[in-house]
Amino acid sequence: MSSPGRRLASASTEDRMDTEFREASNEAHSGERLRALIDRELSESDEAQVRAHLASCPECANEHARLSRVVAALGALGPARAPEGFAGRVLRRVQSQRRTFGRNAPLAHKVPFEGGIIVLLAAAAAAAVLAYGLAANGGLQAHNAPAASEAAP
Amino acid sequence: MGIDAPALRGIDRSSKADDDPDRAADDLAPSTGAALPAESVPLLERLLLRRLQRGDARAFQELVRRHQDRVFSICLRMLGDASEAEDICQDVFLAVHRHLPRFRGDSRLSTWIFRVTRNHCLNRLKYLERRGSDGDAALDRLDAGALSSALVTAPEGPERALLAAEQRRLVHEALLRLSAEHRLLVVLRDIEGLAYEDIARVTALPVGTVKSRLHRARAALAGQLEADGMAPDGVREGSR
Repeated sequence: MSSPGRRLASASTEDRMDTEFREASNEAHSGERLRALIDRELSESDEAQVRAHLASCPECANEHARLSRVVAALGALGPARAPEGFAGRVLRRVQSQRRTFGRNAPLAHKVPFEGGIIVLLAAAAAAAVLAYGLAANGGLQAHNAPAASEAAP
Repeated sequence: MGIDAPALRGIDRSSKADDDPDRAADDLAPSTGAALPAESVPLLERLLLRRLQRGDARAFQELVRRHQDRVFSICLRMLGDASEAEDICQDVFLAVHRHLPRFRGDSRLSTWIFRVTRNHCLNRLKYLERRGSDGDAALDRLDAGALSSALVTAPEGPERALLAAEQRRLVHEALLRLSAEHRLLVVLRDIEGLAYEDIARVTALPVGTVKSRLHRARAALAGQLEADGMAPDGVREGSR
C-alpha cells in the first residue's frame, strides 16, 4: 500500500509506481482494492472480501479510513460558480476578436505578455539600428557629396 | 506556507506535447480513449454542435452558460485564485470558439472542453513556474473572500458555516500543494465527479494509470492535511 503523502520523485518513478500498483491489485494489502472499495467499484463478494481483510489488518483499515475522509472532505468543498456576468464577458471578447480578426482571431494567450514585450523590444531595437544605419549612411553620403562635386570638372 | 518544488512537477511530462493550450482541439482522439460512437453523444449535444459549427452565436452563448460553472470550478481548484481562474476560464471558451469548426465530434463536447481547460491550466501553471513563482504564489493569491463567494455552500447555522468554511479553506490550500497532475486528478474525480473513462480522455492517460495516480494523490492530500495538523475529516488534531 502506498505510504501517506508520498511525493513523486520523477516521471519514471511514477511510471514504476503505476505498474506496481496494477500488479499488486490482487494482493491483500492492495491500494487498488482500497481505491476500488472507496469508489464503490467492487462486486458484493469482492467488497465482502476486502472488508474482511480490513477487519483483520489495522494498517489497511487506517489507510482506508484516512482516504475515505479525504474523499469526503473533497466532496464537501462543493462546486464553484462562475462569477456574475461571466458569459457576457466571454461573448464580448469573442465579438471583439471577430470584429478585429474574423473568426480565426488570434487569442491573447498565443502571444504571452512577456513574449509580446520581447517582440516589441526586438522590433524597436531593430528599428533603432536601421535608423542609425540610415542616418550614418546619409551622413556619409552628405559628407562625401561635396568632395564628389569638388572633384567634378 | 511552503510548497515543495513538486507542487508544479508533473506539468512538464503531462503537457510537454501540449505547449499550445489550444492543442486539445487538434488532439481529439487521445491514444487512451477511443472515439465515442455517434449514438453515445446525446442528441441535444449533437444538435447544439451542429448549430455551433454553423457559427450560431446563440448556440455558443448556450454552450458557455451550460459549461461555465464546471470550467470555472476546475480553473479555480487548479489555480487557487478566483480572478486568475476567470481569466483562464475566458481563454478556454475563446479557444473553444476558435476551434469549434475543427471539432470532429468523436468525444463528448464536455470532455473536449475539459481537455482544453486542463491544457490552459497546466500551461498557466507552467508559465507561473517559469516566471519564478512557486506554489506559494498560488497560496498568496488565495483570496478567501472571493473564494468563499465563488463556492456554493449549503445553508447552515452561522457557527457551523464558519467552521465548514474554515475546513474548506484548509482543504483547498492543501490541494494547492499537490503536484499539478495529482491536483488535476483529484479535482476531476473527487470534486467534479467525472468517470474514470472521461478523466482518461481529458488527461490522455490510460484508465489504470489514472486510478493508481489518483490513489497516490489522495494519499498525498491526506498527508498534507495531517502535516497541517488537520485530520482529513476537518477536525484539528488536539481539538477532538
